[in-house]
Amino acid sequence: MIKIDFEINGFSDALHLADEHGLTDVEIEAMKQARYDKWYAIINDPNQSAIEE
Amino acid sequence: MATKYWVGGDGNWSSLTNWRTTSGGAVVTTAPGSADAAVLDANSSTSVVTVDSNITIQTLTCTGFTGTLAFGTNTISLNSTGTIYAGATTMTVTGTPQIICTDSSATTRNISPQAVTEANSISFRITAGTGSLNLSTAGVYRNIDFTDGTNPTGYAGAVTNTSITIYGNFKTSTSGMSFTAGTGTYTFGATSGTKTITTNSITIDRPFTFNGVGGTWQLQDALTIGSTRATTLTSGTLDLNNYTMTSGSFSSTVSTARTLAFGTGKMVISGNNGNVIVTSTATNLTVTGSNRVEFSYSGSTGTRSILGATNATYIEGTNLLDYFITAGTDIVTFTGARNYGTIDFSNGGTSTFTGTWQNATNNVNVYGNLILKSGMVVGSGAELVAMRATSGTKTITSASQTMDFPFIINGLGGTFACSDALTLGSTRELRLSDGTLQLKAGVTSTVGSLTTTGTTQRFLQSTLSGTQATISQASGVVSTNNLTIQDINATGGATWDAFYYNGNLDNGNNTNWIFGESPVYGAEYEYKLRSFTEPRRF
Repeated sequence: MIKIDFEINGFSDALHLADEHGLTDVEIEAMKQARYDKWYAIINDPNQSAIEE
Repeated sequence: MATKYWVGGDGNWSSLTNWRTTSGGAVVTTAPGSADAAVLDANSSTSVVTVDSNITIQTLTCTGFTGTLAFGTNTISLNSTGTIYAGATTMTVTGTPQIICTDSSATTRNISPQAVTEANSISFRITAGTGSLNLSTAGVYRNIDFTDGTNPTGYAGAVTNTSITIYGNFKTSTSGMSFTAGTGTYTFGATSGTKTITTNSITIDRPFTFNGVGGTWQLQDALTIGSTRATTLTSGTLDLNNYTMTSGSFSSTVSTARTLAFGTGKMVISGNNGNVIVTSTATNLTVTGSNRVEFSYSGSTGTRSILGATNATYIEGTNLLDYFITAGTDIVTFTGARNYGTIDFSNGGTSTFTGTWQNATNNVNVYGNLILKSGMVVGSGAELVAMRATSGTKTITSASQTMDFPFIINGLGGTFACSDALTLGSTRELRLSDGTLQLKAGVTSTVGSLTTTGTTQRFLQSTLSGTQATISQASGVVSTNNLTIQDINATGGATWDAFYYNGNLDNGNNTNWIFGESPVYGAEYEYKLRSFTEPRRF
């Protein structure tokens, strides 16, 4: 497998892809952005419940 | 399907003499194959069953087995559904034990390894399937891998909500698998080596606990845990490995040795309305790397309480975290009688926080920077905030906020540089105890009262040598001791006494301070007076 580290706006993550993934650079960049967008939506959800202790 | 039972002592799995059609029975059968279920039970006695090749069966049951399942380097694949594996705490495993679960249907599978020891734990790889997967409560696993072993794809179902212990690596697939939300804790318990955690952007809405003396868990990508869930570091090393770890809260309040290694990564705390950070007992906690904890909650509900290290357990530069509030309109409090690294509400100017920093119920000690931001509310109170760093230069940014609480400079060897005007409430004390306070050059800082305490020499300066900073106090008499003053213009209605005989020093470019006679002049004055009065004694 191939690991591609990336960082967007302070969010550091990695993509794990098959050796023969067949993805274009554009598709990979879109995957990175999708990862960031998903994370950003999670941490900016103001409607979450209180933490459990 | 046939169910086949092991009897007759030690042997290879492929043996033609050790399998029976009934438990402890006499009717010999062939080794179980891909259409069979295998059973090792009490009637298998203490046999050593050697997996002499990669085998495929439907299910494996080891309930009551007191012998050894010797994997060597071979694997057992289970191709069925239902309860595909039942382990036993009485059995032993050797080699590199791995069970591969290959069913690709939508039918539920149960894996029940029981609460075995780390040494007897088995690795499981779930390569396919869309049905739910029940990892039985209190089950113990070595590696859990949801991929096919070659590609990141694999299991695509939902893992049910149970508490399990994992002694090895943890890897999710990219095939759309999920984890049912709940309080079932994933405990990582390795006691040696480095174990990896790969989650492929799947939010795991479960509590995570890291608890293995000697173990290290290293992220292989960003880890996101649900915003209501806690991450607990009890022992071992949690290595963010330069990635972003997100969790509802973080707790590490024990005395066992443990390390939180950031690398260049960071921790994002997304939770609210509760204790979002608890490092009260910071004994034997070591923080390395970027040391960056951000608080991202953007709502208005409740109070986020941050509990730093107690006065008895903190070690400056070792176990204090740096905190950055990036959003929210709620209340944030740094609990009193605790110690903190940096407290930063600005986050480099990107923070949208407009909530309230509530004054604590006891002293708050800051060993890093203190950065406020415009638009936030700085709560008033009688409990002091103390800048305590003992080395380097730390920044104080008021951002036009009035700090309506006592503010103390108390870090022997530390320098505290104001990046803008420092403004305290009209009744609040700026106390210089130890260290160097540099007021912003060219602007006026305002205090309720300036005091000094202690016997070590401290320093009041401007941030720009040769350019005055102004300090203003509206009334009263300032009377400092052991204070070296340079480039400071004193103003307001107060009287600014800094007499030499109280250990104060005029280091130049000061105005409106009353230093009195210098120590040299004082000696001469005493001499002249003695000369003047001596004749009168006669």
